[in-house]
Amino acid sequence: MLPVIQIGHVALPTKPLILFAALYAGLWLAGREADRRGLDGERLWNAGFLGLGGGLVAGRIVYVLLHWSAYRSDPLAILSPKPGTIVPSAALAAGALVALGYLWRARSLNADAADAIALGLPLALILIDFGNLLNGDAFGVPSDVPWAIPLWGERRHPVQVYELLAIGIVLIVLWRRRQVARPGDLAWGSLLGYGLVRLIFEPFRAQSWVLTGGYHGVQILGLIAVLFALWALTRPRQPDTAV
Amino acid sequence: MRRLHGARWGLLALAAVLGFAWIQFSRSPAGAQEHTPAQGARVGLMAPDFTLSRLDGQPVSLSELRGQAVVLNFWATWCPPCRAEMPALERVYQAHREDGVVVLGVNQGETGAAVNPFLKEFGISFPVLLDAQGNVGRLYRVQALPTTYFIDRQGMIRDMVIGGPMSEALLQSKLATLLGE
Repeated sequence: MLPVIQIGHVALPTKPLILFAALYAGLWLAGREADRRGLDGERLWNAGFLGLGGGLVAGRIVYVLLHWSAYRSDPLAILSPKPGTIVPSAALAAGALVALGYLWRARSLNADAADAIALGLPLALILIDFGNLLNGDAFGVPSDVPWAIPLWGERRHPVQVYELLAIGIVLIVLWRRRQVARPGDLAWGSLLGYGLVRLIFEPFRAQSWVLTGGYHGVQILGLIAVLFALWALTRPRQPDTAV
Repeated sequence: MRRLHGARWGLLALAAVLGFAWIQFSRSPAGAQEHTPAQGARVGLMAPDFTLSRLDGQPVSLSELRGQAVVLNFWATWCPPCRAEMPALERVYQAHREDGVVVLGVNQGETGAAVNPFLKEFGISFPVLLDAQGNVGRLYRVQALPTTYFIDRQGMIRDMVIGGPMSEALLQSKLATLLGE
């Protein structure tokens, strides 16, 4: 496992580095697809990096507000952020809002842009899963299957590998369909694929959100995403206009 | 058209039934995850136990501290960020020792002769253990100094910070979460 990369006296945590690499790779593929569709791929890059900046600031502000009693006496410490001192859910929500707000203002929030983003998203998720494997994060439940990997004192399902391969298949399918799919269908396809991954593989994760009765909360959300995406993908097509 | 409409709803119904069946089949036995947490040096796992000696030779085991919140700080005298965060660790220890908080310094690879003058210079009163061979550092996969683990009263790692120096505000915020649970 490689939780940090040591360069001289500087220790760089790999998790934020991989998250940044995932964002970069996802935006690269989304930007390429946007250009192919005649959109301005530069706008997706702008949206991505504005979202990153906005998300980090918002996540940090929420962390400081939640721990205001600690920061009140030392306001300069607010400017010294470290990994683990932002609220990820707030950062994610604010980052998405900033990115979508930028695209909306730039009049670039449409089905083609959603399709381009939908193509970049699985590539980003593949890198995140690779990072989880590297860090030993998002690990699997104990198992004695022949392909189990030793991790945290036990042999476990390599759930990071399952997800990485499954999302790889989603990416290949979307890539092959990108020229023939209706506008918006790649976005629904991406939601369908990721929903299926969560629905199928969530029970193999050791640290899962378990509800009363032993039900996995994320699995239920995955099923809702699958049904919603299927409903959208199978909606009747508009008949072609005869020329 | 009506047939296509029926097939669409049929597909959705089939997906819903298969999905629910898998959710039902794959649900966890109630409470299984809470009762069998694994041991390991990562957030969400039980902190691995160890025994090391204090500077006066008295052995201290992590398991003896169960019931108290533990700030486990891996450090060395030659490490500038470790030196910089020592006063904040001491202040936090003084402020919260009555609340059942223990700051435990685990020195990496040095002898008492090197560590003692440093502790006197900085007025450190929290317990410092000597990990001369670095065995506990390896057990906790310490790859950079300082590395700090925040362990709750049940012995579970709730948070960790790689690198430093940590500000007093950061330490207080992590402890507030630890003590609030």
